[in-house]
Amino acid sequence: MKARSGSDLRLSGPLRVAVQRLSLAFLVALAFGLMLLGKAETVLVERLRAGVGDTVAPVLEALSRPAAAVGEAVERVNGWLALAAENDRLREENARLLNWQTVARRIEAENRVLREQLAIVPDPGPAFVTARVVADSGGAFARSLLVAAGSTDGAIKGNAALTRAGLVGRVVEVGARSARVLLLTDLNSRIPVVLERTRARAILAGDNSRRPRLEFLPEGVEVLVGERVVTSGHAGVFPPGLPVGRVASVTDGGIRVEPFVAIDKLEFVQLLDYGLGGILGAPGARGRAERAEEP
Amino acid sequence: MSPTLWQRLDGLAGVLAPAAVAVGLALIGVAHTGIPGLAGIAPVLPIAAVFFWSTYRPRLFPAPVAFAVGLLVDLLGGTPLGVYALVLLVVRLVVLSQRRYFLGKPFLFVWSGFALVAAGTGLLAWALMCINAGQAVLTAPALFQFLLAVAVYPFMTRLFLWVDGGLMQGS
Repeated sequence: MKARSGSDLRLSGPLRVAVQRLSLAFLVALAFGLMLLGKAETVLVERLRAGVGDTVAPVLEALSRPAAAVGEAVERVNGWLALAAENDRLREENARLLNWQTVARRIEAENRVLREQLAIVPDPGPAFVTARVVADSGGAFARSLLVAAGSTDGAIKGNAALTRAGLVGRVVEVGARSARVLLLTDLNSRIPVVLERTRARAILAGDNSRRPRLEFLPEGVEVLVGERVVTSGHAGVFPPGLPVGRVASVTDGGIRVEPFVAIDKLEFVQLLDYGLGGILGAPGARGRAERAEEP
Repeated sequence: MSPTLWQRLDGLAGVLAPAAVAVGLALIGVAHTGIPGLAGIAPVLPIAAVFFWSTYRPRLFPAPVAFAVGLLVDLLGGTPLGVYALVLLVVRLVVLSQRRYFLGKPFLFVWSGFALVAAGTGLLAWALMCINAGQAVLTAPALFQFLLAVAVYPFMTRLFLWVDGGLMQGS
């Protein structure tokens, strides 16, 4: 044990203790400094995160394959135990039908608008990338995903992350080969939504729990359990009408929304570019400009 | 007498191996498992590595390594930079000051010591997150994270002992 310090710098006892104390104090100060830096200088921190994400994404992807296999095995055993096979089939069918319902509602709304303004030119369809989820990180205090698709694959900061079922979150950091998706359940997630029945606007605010809260709802709006919640398109981050979730509970403590997407079972997500840079600023807008020049 | 090349390499391996284990644990901790609900309560495994090496061989896990591993945890996990860097430093500091109580004690005693430290880190990380977010952060996930961390510590110890045994043989 003693011999192993052979290559260490040899300092006399008291001096070494002093140096160690000083370096420890420096590291503690550095940790606090980084916390402040993260609050103020987000671009630098973002770039650092994206760099690390790029580096570890291939490793994590390799790691997640056997883990995914184990996960599937667990799922299968669960299937045998319950009446799950049938249940799953029905759930899938239900999801498909809900998907169709969403499509139908959107088309209905679009139709109404089109009828009002004849000869309108429809928006071009969104460009999208499908990406494998390689890490669901955050532990107890944050909710985000790392996906194995980056700027080289066409992912852009501000992209909406979706599955067939509905909204998952939005892309907040993009590296060359990886991107981080801030889930709608994260503490920092704020999504402008409308209640589909009453068209009342609200903000869907994540708090790290499975069911985000509805905030800033106008007074006197009646909210029913089971009501659909969709994106409103305000603030220009998401297009209007993306399915988000269903009102799960209405209590004095607040209104909770159950997302349509089973977020902890995600394997793949689609990153869609609606060409809305929104409040996220330049990167999205630049991506759009480049894309517009392509054809 | 200056150390030979092999002794130097050995010394390097002595420091690198625990750090590599901690980095590996940080990666495994965020890897996508597809197990419902696990991501939100997955323990920060490097805490166990810092605890183990600070107790038995603090020289092999110097403070800058603890800091760097903590930073990696922050970068991977999406927590504000510096939160887990500070947490791991504090773990090292606390364990170093208390290690004489753990040395030569039965495993159950050390395990309960780890539980105390894990509880402390959970509380510290929670407090730092609250300050950073400017609001009270949900506590339930931190509680489950703590329970899971305590539950997996014996398995972690097996891994650490195995790595440590390899290092001892090498020297």
